[in-house]
Amino acid sequence: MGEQLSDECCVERCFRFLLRRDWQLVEDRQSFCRDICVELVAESLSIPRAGEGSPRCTGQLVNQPHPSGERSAQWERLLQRKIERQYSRILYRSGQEAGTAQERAFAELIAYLYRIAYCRLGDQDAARDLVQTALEKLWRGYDTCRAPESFLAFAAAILRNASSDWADAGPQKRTVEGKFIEMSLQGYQEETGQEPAVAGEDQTVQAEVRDIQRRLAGLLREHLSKPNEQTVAILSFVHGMPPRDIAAVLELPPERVRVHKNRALQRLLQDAVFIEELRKLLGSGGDRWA
Amino acid sequence: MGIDWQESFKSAAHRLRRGPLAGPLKGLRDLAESLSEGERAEECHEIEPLLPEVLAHEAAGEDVDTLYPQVMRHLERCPACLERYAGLVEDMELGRSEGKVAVPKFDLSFLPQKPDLWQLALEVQAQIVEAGRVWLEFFRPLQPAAQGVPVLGEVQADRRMLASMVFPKLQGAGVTVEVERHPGEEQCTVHVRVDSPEWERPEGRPVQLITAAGTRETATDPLGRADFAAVPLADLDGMRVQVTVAPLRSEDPPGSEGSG
Repeated sequence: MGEQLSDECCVERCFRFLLRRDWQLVEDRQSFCRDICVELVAESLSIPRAGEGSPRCTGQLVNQPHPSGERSAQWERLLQRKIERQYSRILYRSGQEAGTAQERAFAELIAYLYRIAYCRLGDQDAARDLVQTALEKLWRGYDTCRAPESFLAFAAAILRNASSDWADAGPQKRTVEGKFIEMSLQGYQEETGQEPAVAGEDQTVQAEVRDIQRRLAGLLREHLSKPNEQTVAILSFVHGMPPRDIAAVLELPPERVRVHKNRALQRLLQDAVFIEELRKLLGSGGDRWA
Repeated sequence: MGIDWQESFKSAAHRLRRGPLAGPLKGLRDLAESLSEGERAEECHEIEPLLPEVLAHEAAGEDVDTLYPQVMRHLERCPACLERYAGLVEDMELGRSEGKVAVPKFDLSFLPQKPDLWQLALEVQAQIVEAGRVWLEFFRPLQPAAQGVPVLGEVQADRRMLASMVFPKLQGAGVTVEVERHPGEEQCTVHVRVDSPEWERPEGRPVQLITAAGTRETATDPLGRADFAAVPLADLDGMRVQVTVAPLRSEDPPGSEGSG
């Protein structure tokens, strides 16, 4: 633990991230960065050095080193989200203080919201009008922000609600689609060391589990046409992986995995043929499953 | 048909909770359980305000299934809230994107304006008192009867002149008061300078700073400077600087005012 706390690389990365974002509200950046690293350590998320293997921890695959030998992209993303959360707290507090601190907080909030609005709408005037409306709504509902650490998300939600035609907006919407990595089942099993069946069980049980998993995977492939939803559904329902682990394997943000998984679920729920096929599959186990 | 398959899914999920296949078929059990859930009980308006919070926690790698089970179940079944959540995820990603975006000016007049003493004009009233002492008192120009001169002038970005007064009846002595703000702090340093063309050396002149927090005293250095550090910005309003310039000459009536 002590080694991780003094991991200068973590602090340095944190620092560089802050510089890129140009968040002036963070005055004592050194101490801010150290707090983030302490938080990471407190959550038992060890920070592997480049090219180094890492122990399993809360996020299981979060610490897998990147094939390039650098720290994993997932680790980097997690670090950035921690920074963002801490920054949200500062932003929220400063926004409440009348005077200079408030002006600075709103200036940074404006830069954040305007970027979103401009990327969505692709038009400066429309983006400006929308952000202006959102800012006034935000101020009126400032006290309804339940958790200061989610203040940026809270502000983004208000921006979204301020636009009636947000959902259809902007050709640039597509540019944020995450890179999706096709992941074979075999690959996941190798990486996690997970066997498809219970080790030590007799061959018949193992064969049955494999057969059920194969059939379920086939059903999901057949009824889910979008590759991202299909892969996430297979990893979730065939392999029982939690979204955080799927996120680590696919190098996607966990919140995106959640969206893919739930979209898949909702699609399957509407698919009467799938429901019927699944019922047959579930019925095939009979009392042997109990 | 709906109830029928939901019941059979529930029953299968129940059977999969125990037995040798419970572990390897956990995903199948989750799927059966999720699909067998009935209509959502909670309303979207209860869930929607929680979405930013859930997103912030999930993005930071926390176990939101345990923290927000009700929201998670709702998101599995409610397409409208799921799309809202998905949109928010995308918006947050846009907000994180790099590259310069020129941000236009916005109207922030809806924010409450807190009086900032640094920006406020402080008026000064100066008076010669007995024994060759002068005092300068600073206050906000609220009192209509207040006499004095607006004396604010920029010296540097963080240094502002509050007063520059010359007292012809006191050997032409001049007193300058400046405040220096320290970025990020609610305190400042008050610089007082006292000098006269008639003096050989301006050092050793007693200077008092009287604020709500009390009285501090020092004497001018060889250049005629006296500095008071760590003065709260809020104390500038009502602050008084008292300088012993020189013995009062017999022809100077007490209470005569200096000129700015």
